[in-house]
Amino acid sequence: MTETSTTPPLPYHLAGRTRGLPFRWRLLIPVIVALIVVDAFPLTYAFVASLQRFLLSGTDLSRPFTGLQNYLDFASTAEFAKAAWNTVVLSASVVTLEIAIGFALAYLLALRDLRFRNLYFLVFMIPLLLSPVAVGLSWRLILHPDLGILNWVLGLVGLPKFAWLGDVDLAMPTVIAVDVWHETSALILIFYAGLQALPHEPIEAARVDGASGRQILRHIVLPLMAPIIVVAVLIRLVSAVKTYDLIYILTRGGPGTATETVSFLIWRTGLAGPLDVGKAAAGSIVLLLVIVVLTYFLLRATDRAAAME
Amino acid sequence: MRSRSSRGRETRGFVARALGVVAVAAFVASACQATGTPTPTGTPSPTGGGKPFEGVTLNLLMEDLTETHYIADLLPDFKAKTGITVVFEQVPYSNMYEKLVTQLSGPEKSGSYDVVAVDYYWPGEFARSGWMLPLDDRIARDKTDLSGIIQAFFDVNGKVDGKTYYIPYFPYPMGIVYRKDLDVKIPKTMEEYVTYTKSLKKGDFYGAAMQGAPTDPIAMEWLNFLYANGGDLYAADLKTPTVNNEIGRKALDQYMDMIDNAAQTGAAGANLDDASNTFAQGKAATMVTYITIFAGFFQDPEKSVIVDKWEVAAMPGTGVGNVGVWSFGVPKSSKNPDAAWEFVKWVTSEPVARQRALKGGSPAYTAHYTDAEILAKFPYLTRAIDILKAGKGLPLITKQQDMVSTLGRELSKAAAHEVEPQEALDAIATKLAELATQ
Repeated sequence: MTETSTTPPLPYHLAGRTRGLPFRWRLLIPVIVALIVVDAFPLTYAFVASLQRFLLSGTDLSRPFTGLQNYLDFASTAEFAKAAWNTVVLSASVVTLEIAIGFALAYLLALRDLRFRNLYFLVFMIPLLLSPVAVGLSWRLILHPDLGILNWVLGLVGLPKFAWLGDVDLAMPTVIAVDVWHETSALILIFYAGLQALPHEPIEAARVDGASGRQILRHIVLPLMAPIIVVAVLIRLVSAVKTYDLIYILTRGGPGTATETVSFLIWRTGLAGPLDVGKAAAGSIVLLLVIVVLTYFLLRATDRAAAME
Repeated sequence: MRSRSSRGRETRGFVARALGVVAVAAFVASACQATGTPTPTGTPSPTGGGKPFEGVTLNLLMEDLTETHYIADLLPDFKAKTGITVVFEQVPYSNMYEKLVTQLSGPEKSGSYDVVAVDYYWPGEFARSGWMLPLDDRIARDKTDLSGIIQAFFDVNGKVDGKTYYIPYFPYPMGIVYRKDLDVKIPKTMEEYVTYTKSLKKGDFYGAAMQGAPTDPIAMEWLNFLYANGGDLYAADLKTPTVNNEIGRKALDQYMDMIDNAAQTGAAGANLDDASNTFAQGKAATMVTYITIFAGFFQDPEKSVIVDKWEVAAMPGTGVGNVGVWSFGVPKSSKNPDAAWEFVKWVTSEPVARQRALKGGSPAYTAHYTDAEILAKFPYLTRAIDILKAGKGLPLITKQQDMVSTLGRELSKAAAHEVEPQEALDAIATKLAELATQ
């Protein structure tokens, strides 16, 4: 046999191999460029800024290298310690409450014989559609000590007026409550989707064997849902650690520093007064490292949960 | 048991996912740009007839409040006269500073805003950072008559280091609004005022509607207590803080006493809107506030139950209140500085200022406080001019915004009883000493 001189054309993706960069890399180029622009450049910029004396305004706008001074200055203040503690309290509280409430409501919504399911869905999803700014402004009105509807309703049953956002002891619990009201919707959706995707066979088998609803929930549903719960915790925890917008609208970190979080402190340092971009960038890097560490441990937990499954 | 390769995938997955969250941590730095001091520009604007700026569009960042709306109503006149379209981006006050500084600190002619409305605690910072165009040459070239404007406003928010960077257009003096229908009388001394407002608090009715939230509300409100007691933030040299002397302490003690015993529930967390609503809904006897800005609000029957039931007074004690002034300036980052100057000239001119005053604006021209037509509609202006003349602005240091931010933060800690009053004042003094050198 003799070879023909006219070989059939290669499929396009294979043909690409013969002309430089492999086809799959060419497909990835836009994503890589986007990542560099959106992630790598700002991160590098922030890191470099964190090592400089970088004031946005003033008579001396030079940017000398200062090493780790911004990190030391940012992390050594009492304000940072307070903000870090507030962030821990806020994050732990909202994640715990939102996971528990979100799962409970999703479980109820997934019950087979539930009537008016769509109506409940509609109601529960409303907060999800609102921006944090709209939520904050609405709740400021609701929580107004004298003119807000909440104190008015409480007054009908003889309770005194509460300074929801003006009392040092009440402000943080109030912010947590508003956050739970706003953010639980998304978790309901995630958990409901997870519950719908569970295999029916183990549950039916347990039911046939006489297991109670509580036993099914504890020994079958929760273990099967574990990977989804861990992912939900991860998503909310990372988001909660960065909480800024709700604080900005509701309390501005006050009264005093009762509700100031690390994210809010970073904003205040960088854009609200000192315009100290170097120190704010250092704070951002510190916060980033905390989030990365949290992410690492939670992903390991996800892997373990998946392995158990 | 997991394989090495699956661990490898997990590690790579972790790195990829971790990269997904890194950008958020850089949000501050990514919002800011490196800055340098731009060089001044000075292209003369045509002085002849016609419409040399026909088709030009100017973008402005403005606070969303009545004075802005009054100007917006008049913009068709400006367009008919010059052919220039002016677009207002109206935002709440609290968003203005961060939006402005990130634009102004950019390279020359790269900004989004052609004219900037500058509040009275930004002029030093904006001018000394090299962000603003000096206007003296343009004023001289066009023979712009600014003599009718109350000249003290230029000291507060007009001139920096001898150069004119801003033209004042809207003063906002602070004083006391009180319920004349309830026969409330403002006493002569601050001590009496504190005692009096405490005595007026009965159940759901309060002696004073107050705004103790950080940072601007409490800072602006407390400055009135400081000035009314004869105190100040700095000595005359603008280097030595005096805020933590015995007068400052007395002013803070009085303020905290009122927050705790005369003001509405939750006053330590209330902002200006909260306190204004409390007063407008007839829940308080007095309020230290911006007497001209809120006249329209308190007189609006849809928003207020105290229409025609209130009056204004100067602060007790020295009678000195906090006086703010808004001015217009042209940033070096403006893409259309000459057209921008045309707008500044027009909007700060006497005829346009008078039209704003007739709508309810706060006049910057002396003559408007004796203008019969304006006074017939807004009689409180006869008292406002005295409050204006007696009032005091902020010390003109470079980092005024940082000064206000520090004041607000530390005062709020004291008002919330997080720290002792003297501790808060000493912290403020330490920061003020540092800021005086910048």
